[in-house]
Amino acid sequence: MAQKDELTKIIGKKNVLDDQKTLDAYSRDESFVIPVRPSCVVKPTKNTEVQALIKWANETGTPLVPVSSGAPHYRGDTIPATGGAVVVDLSKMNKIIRVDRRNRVAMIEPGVTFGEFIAALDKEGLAAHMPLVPRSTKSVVGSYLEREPITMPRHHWDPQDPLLCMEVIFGDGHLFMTGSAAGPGTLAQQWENKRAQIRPMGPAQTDFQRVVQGSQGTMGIVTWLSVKCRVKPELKKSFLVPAKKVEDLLGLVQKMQKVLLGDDCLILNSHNLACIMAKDSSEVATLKDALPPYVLFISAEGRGVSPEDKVAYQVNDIKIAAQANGLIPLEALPCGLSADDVAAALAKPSDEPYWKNKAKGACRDIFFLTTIDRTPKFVKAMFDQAESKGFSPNDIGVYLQPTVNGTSCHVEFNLNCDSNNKAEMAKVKGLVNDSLVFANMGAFFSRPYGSWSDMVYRRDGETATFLKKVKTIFDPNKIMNPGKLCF
Amino acid sequence: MALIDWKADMVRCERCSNCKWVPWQKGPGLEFAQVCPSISKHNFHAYSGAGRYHSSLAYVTDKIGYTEGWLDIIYHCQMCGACDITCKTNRDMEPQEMLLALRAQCVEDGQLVPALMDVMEGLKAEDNMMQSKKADRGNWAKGLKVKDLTKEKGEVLYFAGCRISFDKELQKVARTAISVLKKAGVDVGIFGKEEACCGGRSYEMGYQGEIESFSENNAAMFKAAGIKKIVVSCSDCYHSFKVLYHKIGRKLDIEVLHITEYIAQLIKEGKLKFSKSVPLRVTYHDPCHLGRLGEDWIPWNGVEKKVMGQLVLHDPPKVFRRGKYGIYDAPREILRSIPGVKLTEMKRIEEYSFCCGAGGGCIDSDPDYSLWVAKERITEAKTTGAEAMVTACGWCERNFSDAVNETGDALKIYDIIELVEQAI
Amino acid sequence: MALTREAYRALEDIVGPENISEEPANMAGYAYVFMVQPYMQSPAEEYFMPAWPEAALLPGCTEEVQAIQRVCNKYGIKSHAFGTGWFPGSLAGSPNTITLDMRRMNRIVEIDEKNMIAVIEPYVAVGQLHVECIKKGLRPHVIGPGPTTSSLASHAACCGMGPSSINTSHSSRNILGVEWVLSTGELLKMGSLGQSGEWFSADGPGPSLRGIMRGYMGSFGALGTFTRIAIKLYPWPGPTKHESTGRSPCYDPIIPERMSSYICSWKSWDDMHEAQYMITEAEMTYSGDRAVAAWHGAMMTESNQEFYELWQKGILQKNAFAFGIILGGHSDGEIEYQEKCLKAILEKTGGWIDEELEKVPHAVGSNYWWHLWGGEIIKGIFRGTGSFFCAATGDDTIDNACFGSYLGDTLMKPYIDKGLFLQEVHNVWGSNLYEQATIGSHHEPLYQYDPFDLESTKAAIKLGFDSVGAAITEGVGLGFFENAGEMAHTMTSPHAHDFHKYMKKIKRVFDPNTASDPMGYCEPE
Repeated sequence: MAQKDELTKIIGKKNVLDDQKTLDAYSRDESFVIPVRPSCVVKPTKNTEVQALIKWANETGTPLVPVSSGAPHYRGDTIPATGGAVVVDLSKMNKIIRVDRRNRVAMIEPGVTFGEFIAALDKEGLAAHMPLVPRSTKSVVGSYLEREPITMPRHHWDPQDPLLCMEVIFGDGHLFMTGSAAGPGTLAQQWENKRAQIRPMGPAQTDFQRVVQGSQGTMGIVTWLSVKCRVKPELKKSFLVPAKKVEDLLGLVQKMQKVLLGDDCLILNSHNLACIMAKDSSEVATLKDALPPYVLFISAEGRGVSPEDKVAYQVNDIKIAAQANGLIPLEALPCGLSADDVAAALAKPSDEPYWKNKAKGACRDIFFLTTIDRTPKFVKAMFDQAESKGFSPNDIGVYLQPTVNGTSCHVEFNLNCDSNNKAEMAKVKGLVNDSLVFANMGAFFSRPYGSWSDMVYRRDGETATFLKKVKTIFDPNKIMNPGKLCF
Repeated sequence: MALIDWKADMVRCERCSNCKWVPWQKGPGLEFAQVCPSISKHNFHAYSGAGRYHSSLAYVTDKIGYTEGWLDIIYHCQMCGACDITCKTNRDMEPQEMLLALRAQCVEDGQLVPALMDVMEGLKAEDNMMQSKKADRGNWAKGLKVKDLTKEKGEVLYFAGCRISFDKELQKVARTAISVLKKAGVDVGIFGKEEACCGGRSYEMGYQGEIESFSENNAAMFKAAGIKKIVVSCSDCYHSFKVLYHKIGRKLDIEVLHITEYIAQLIKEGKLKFSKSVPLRVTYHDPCHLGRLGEDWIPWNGVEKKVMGQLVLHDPPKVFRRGKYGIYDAPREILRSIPGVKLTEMKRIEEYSFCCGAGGGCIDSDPDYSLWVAKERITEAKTTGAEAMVTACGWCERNFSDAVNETGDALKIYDIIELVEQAI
Repeated sequence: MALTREAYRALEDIVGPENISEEPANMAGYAYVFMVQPYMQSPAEEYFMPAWPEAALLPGCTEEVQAIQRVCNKYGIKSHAFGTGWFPGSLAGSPNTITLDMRRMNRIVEIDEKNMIAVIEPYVAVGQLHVECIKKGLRPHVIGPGPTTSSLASHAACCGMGPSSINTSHSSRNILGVEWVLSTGELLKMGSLGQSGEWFSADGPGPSLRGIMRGYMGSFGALGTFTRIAIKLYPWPGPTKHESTGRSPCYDPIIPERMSSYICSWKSWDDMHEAQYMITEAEMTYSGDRAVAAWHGAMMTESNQEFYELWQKGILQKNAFAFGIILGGHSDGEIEYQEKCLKAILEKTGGWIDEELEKVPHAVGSNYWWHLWGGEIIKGIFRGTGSFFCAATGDDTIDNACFGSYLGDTLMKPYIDKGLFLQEVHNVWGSNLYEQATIGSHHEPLYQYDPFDLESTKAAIKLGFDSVGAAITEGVGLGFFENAGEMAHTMTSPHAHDFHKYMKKIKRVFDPNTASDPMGYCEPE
């Protein structure tokens, strides 16, 4: 009770929850991470409350587990690793602080979802950089902090994108702003001086934001982000490029990245495309059968002083590049699925049910980074793995997303499953936890959730050693989400 | 000018490092991008043009004194002018002049290199840089029917120079030159054993006083013989007569031509015609003193002034020698006009050519280093696919020949006059 | 304090006697670079760094660098890595420091054409890398200091903006892999390199150690030495080889098909910045940044005298608010789009391309070289006076750069009026528009002073100091001199969430024995 009283003093009674139903809800997610019930869930509404919470946690040695997105969660990073933890649910910090059309930047709190964000940007003539059809409850800040890839590699200059600056309260309780937001001056003064918190680097000789991003809440709690946006296109031309094999599409993908052609650029297999585009589970199988095995989705957006010309030359060049690779970009597939419909689906969050759950009710993901040219061997390995473990290859979704201007590629396998089928779930668990097979082939698990954490830090002890040192700097008492990653 | 007079340049050298590289506009890639032999070999920054500015600044501001190490830095430099030209693609500065002043300062202060002292003793005693007997100087011309201009008058003097006169393997260069000139109908003569050093190499070694007497003596001999045109095969001599004599106030009232200039002229005039094919893939090495250092001396006597606040100008305006007007075209025109010769260029050519390694006294003071530089150049030459490297200076040919002999490379080394003769 | 003989022998055993030197004349070469006095706030008459290195070493491989660091830790010596030396941050700044001249580590390990990645060692110059990359239809990010500078140093350890930043970003953003010898001698291979030996991503697993390695500015060797890095490459629309005509000192490029070089002008900064918003939104240039009149004039002339004569004609002043642009298309359609956009933007913003200026010999060509790889910068920025420094730089929005430009002019004016710096129309250089300005615009109020003139140098020192204060009080933001080194941190950190305190912790944790020179970074906690 003492803990609840103290928390109540900090953020008010209505924002402190410790009923069993709530605690149960925060104790588990869709991952294979072992459930651990928190002792309390708090919902701060402003940064000073977050700072006070962290101060209290340091004084009492209480672990804090930050959460931005609404349920369901999939990665296990928001499940406490130890007992007695307090979950800091940031969903009430959901203000869109600023949208700056001129500088193509917005500032948002962690509770803002993609649906809310897109609507706010749209009013100002901007558009968001989207991960692949996020679930409706997904926090924009959460997605960007997790380094989820966006569908437009041309605009993905750095793994950090589209994250720019942030306000973070580090584990030591210090409120900090990164990049050009750091100072001098308050935010209001900076805005007065025509600054918009768009330079992510620094301040000075440290990129603090890089230490926070990808840390799964182990360094501090982010209370706002400034994020890159793109100008809403005045026109957009989209294409679907069908192929029997992944290999057939790579030449075109690499060419597009090498000469900076197009905006969207991603590969989906028929299963994933069907899941995204089908209205419901019954439509998934039908649509999937009508789709080619793999589809490259590409688009060219027109904006600026001559949008029509921008689209026109890109479309022409894309067609030439496709032809050189023996491919034909189509406005619609023979089954009737149009590229514009796919573009529309990719421009917003997922309808319900979440597309990953549409086929069988549940889904577990395996994802990592490699380079575009190496993707086929991983796709083959995934299907070989599935076969060896008796998992149906028909239930595997494939998503290949070029990242960082095409210098790397996010590879994602979505294992569709029925959570009530224990035998199937055991196979899925086996596949997820046996990801070492991919790591041994050169896959880089840059976002090591759950069991992958042990795997990657065992492979690279030096990095683990130095990350532990970093942890002592920003969270010396180890109160931020302990037990995740390598600390 | 004394070393201290170059202090402004020392301070204003920002350390851009262009003195180490081939001009970027010429697109040097990973290979053969370095232009300075000294830092290419020794690697420490002090062995570059900028580095010598900085150590000299330390010296003139009493931060350092003479040490064995600093003398090593000062004398491990071919004085090839590469840093001078590459600096001056960007700056209004005079690295070569500072380097000359630095060596002169060393000599004045008695900070000498033993090997060079031996050379200088030889020069003083025997009027040559080869530590050979003056009496043997004319041996190269034995048997040649050529006018002796110490005995009779003539308008065209062929000046063999120390290296070609005494180096038995190179004497053919002078003999061939005479033969070719005569075939072209030139009434050419020589000084034979009475020829004396031009004084240029000693000047670049820091012994700037010697050139005074040699230039005076040579000028008197030229005048006495009624010479109107001097033709040289040695690029160092060419540089001395054309540039250094002018610089020290003894501008010759005589046309100074390198053999390549004269041959190119004779070809244009139709006096030399090639009738034989010389089937050979060649590359051409620009001698430093013929190329970037070979352009006319431009006298200037004035002061620095400032305009627009701090813009550094000169009063009267100073024209910098930037290597633009060196002798680059003539040898190439000759090679292109020889039937059968296929010329392929190296990466480092013309004003950004890489030195042969023999200059600045290095061939005497550190032959190993000198040869290392030559080998670097030979490596570059071989990448062109050439069977032969052609040059136009005895010092270059000597050093390259020694390098090839040591490495066993099949690359042939020719003076350009040898190919000319084969084609006639 | 000279090295003990024991320490010297230990170092000599690692690199060999030919690759170590204590010779004072050699050390002078590692203690001098332009702008030392304003950067170090040292006396005007002191041309050298306050502390000279005790020795200079030329390591030849990563293992040697590791071994050197272990010796440093054992004998209480500091090291300072030195790339191509174009910045005071390259030089040793503390007593008892040895310089590691990385010149012998000069290999391009790999250019991965398919994945657009180059792996390089420290002494690969920007210009060299550019030439090797265009053979494969790619180009690296290039920095303002030009083609002689170390690409690795800029990316991993120093600064990082340049004329092509509009399409190639800031150095710090291009890193895909790092091999890092820490001050302790330990070897850290970041990201995918540590996991599988592949060079495609340096972030993670989990938090990114890139954030510790460097920020907006690099650590200048204070956290160890970077021995190999992988960087992102960008599209090159031109041929596989550069062609030029002419001889020293001006070489005119043969501008490739489907590329163009323009110097565009406006009547004010406001108009020019308005155009910059349009240019970046349209994504229509290969390269583009602000062209200061005197600087551009110097680049296109062969000597100061020629520049002065050009200046007297008034052509440059007429184009004082200029922005150099290179267009480059991979197809006829792309270049046509770019040309059309440029024309439209000039019309909408009242801009022009001055025919008289374009007719000046080398004008178009020097603009091309500059944008290609920072070429001609030495003519532009050093030939006039010998050195420069900056007043209140900053990086945020284009509008902020405009604000900062006016501030810079105000700060510099009293000195320029007194004739202490080169008298320009407006000296504010930059507008490096990172990533189509989506992560900011860099501006540098740049003043050219004569380091041989004590009064000019004293003015440079004073304005350098005052500018840090002005950046704070006027709120223009923190640019590069405000962001680097203990002295600047002491002034700026209290106005920027005390970032300095974390940096000091980083220094302590990553370099427990201070075996890397803290100059240019910070002392440990």
